[in-house]
Amino acid sequence: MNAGLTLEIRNVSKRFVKRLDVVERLAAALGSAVREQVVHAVDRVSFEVHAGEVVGLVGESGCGKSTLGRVVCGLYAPTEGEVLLGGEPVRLRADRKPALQMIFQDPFASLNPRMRVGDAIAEAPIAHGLVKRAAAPDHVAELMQQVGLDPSFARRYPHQFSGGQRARIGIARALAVKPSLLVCDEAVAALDVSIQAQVLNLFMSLRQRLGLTYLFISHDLGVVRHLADRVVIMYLGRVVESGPNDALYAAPNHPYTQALLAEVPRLDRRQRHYLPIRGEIPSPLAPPSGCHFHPRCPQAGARCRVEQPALLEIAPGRRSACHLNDGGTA
Amino acid sequence: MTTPRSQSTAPAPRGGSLAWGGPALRSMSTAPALLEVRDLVTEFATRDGALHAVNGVSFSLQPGEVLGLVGESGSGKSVTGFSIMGLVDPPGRIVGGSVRFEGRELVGTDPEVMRKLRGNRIAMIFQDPMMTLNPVLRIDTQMIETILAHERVSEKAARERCIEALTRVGIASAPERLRQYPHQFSGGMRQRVAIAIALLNRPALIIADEPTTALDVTVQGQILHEMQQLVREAGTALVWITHDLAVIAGLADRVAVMYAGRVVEQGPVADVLDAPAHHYTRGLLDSVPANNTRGQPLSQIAGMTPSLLRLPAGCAFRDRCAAATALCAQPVELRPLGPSRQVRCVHPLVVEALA
Amino acid sequence: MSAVPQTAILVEESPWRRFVSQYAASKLALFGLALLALVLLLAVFAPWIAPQNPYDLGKLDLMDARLPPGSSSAFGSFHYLLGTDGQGRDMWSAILYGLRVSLTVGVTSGVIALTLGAALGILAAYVGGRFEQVLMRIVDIQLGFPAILVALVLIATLGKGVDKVIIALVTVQWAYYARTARSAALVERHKEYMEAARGLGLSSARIVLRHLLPNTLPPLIVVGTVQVAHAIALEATLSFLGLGLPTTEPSLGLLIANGYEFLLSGKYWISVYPGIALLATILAINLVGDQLRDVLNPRLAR
Repeated sequence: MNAGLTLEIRNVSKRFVKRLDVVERLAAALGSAVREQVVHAVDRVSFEVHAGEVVGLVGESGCGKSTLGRVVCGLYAPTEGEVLLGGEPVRLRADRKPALQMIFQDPFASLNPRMRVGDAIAEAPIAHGLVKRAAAPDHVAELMQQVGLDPSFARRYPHQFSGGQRARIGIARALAVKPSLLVCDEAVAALDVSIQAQVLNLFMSLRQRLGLTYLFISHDLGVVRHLADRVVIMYLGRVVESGPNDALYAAPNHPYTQALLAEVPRLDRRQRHYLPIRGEIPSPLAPPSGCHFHPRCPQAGARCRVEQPALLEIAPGRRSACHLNDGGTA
Repeated sequence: MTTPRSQSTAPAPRGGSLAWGGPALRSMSTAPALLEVRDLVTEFATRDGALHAVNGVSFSLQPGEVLGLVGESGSGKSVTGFSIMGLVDPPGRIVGGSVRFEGRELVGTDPEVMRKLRGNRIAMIFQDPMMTLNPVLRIDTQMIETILAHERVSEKAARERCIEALTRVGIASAPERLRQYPHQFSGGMRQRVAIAIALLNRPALIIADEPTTALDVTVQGQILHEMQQLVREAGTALVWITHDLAVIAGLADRVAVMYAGRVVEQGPVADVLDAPAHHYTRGLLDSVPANNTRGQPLSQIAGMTPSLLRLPAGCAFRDRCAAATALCAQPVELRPLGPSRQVRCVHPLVVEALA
Repeated sequence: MSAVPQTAILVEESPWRRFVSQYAASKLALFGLALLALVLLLAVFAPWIAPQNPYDLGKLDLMDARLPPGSSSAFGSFHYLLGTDGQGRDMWSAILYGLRVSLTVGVTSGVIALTLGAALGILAAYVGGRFEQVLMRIVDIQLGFPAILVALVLIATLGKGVDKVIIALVTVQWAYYARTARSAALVERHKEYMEAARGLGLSSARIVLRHLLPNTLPPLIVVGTVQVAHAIALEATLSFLGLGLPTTEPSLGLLIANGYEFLLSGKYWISVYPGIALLATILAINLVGDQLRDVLNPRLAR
């Protein structure tokens, strides 16, 4: 385990381009309105995750958090910018031990249905020479115990486990390659509340025992509030606010963060009158100009339509991208 | 899109009583219940035996009331909803109990009678709006079809109603959007269309099966707001099936908590959430991150929901319950706890009725 | 209804046992399997079961030609169960050997076509890009031609012989496997466990062989069983037309062709019995293939 490495995300952008095929190019040449579609999934995002920290990455659909997570792991190459771990660029190479691991959302789809779970956990460490084939069963048993599974289940197939157990298998598989940082992509979203509590507790205890660092991606503000040291809020590919957990939840600065926190149903709010913010999240194919949030923002002004707000430091460790912090919206 | 309203607009109190226990107390009174479910049992025939997804569920609903049906996977909450609608397909079937709607028995009734009720007096909203919407038909075709299936009106009048329904659920430019196909709507909009369809024939009861679970928080907020308004205006009763207690806290009058096919606790929302009587409810509430100290291990319920084919005798929760005793191995009945609450527990956390 | 089962799963049975019990749920499929097993046994053990070697010209007696079923030979020493054909061959023996040839050709060509087609299809899905486009266009063009036409042209060019027939059959079939394999692989390709495998730093070869291939096999197995039936039928057609296998190793098709001229004169057994044998074989394979398709369908499972 490489403890003590900082993850730096520097100006990362990721665009997906759906190129025109032969027929479409012909149609375009003949004057049709068919155009290349570009999805700006991630737009110049920069932040850091320090060793041993848990950073919560929060946003709704289309905000690009999952895409960013995959760029961080090396599953996608960034269109612009770079991701550094301990100063070294993160690059996923076949046959080289990866430094980062991802825990996926769907505990079933992320396991090969035709592979015994013990084999699935042992596959990568053996392939990378971390463990000899003969020693693998013991290694697997130890990992399974670490994540709270009975080692005698190693010969079973994924479909023979419950959702919570499959989530644990995914964690064991990730831990088997001794990563320095774990990217959890909505890792508990598909689980029931009571199972979610168990798996979250597992994440916390692993963090303590193994000194892990997490980038915890979630749409669930309650979970992130509980787990994270710092929180980064994304909207349509951009970071809109970031800061320490307590400060951000107590006094959110950006209007989107304020709306998000106000919208979350809470157990202590009875018969509330929902005051929704207007509008739907725009499609990442055609994001609004200027500040992406301006069509829905109750405080938007003329400047917001035209100029993208810069991510400014509004207090030590806190950043927000809103014109209200920087001379107003007029 | 509904514009934000000021908070000074108070909601019209339901049932003529300002206290939130109002409608709940009435459910125990002589007023006829809109929906009366008694000892409902729905069974699925599997290779490993008969599985009782719904195992003796009882509750009732007054007109205009909102009941939250809460449970995790395997609790039987969705199957209960499907059973009420008569939408349980083989290998599942209702094998016992009764469902009375507006005084009429629905279990075992003629399929044609059920067909006349569905979409008309009782409507359902599903988690995935594409379970309601046909991807190859335009929205207006589907909506007009729903109206014409139950009423004889001119197509023009039906179209007018559709436009009105879409506008009511917050879809702008309704006449244009009517001509579009489902794939041209976003997820949240599709769910709004599904809600509009459910409301088209002004049903007395809507069963909503996790309609906002797959939606973003901000969209969920909008839809919950709209549902609240709509049921208030029309006096529609609502059964809201979900696993999210926080949504119920904000929306429902009463809540029924389900576990392994049975109702384990029932009562007014405030009572159940503030002072849960059943250990499972307590466990669920405790495991919500918001109810825990930040940074400390979350309170968790030990173990997993048992397989419905291998339920322990007596209380289904007993293998996971810290307070279980030998008494819990006997079958446990749903017992009243005060005028408006019920609990299925031999050692409930609350023994006296709340004041 | 609910997305992920959170309840404790009953773990008692292994995947194999589950597959077997699911397959056995259909009586018709069990019948098909039994019939197929019988056909296979007869074909494999033909040299030992057949009372006569129908290709040993020395053993044939023209005096016994065209005898009806159940009759005895001219000198009473041999009992012809299903009669004899135009050269005095025992029909029962001829059918047994014919089954053998038909099945060998059908299965061999099927296996080769499966290997070739699946390899290309899976590779196309994994690699993508130009290679995939080009391959799929070739597949489309190939599938645009009727199988029998392609086979006829190839046989006419290559000549007669068992190996030529197998080459023709492989050429006709590989495209179908390639397309099925590519579709299945495309679906699997985008699943999270493939991403996870990549994220673990596994080599491409390992990912394709250990992760992609096993999960694309089920639809290929289904296609395979039905395609073998097609191949047998196609070969029978070729033989019937006088192309394909030489008369020294007659398949069922050739036997049917041999008896064709006698049908109208009432000597039905020379064509009809080989026809029934062919029908039974194809039927059995189709029944098994149908049930396999239902059992292996991931949507119907779980």
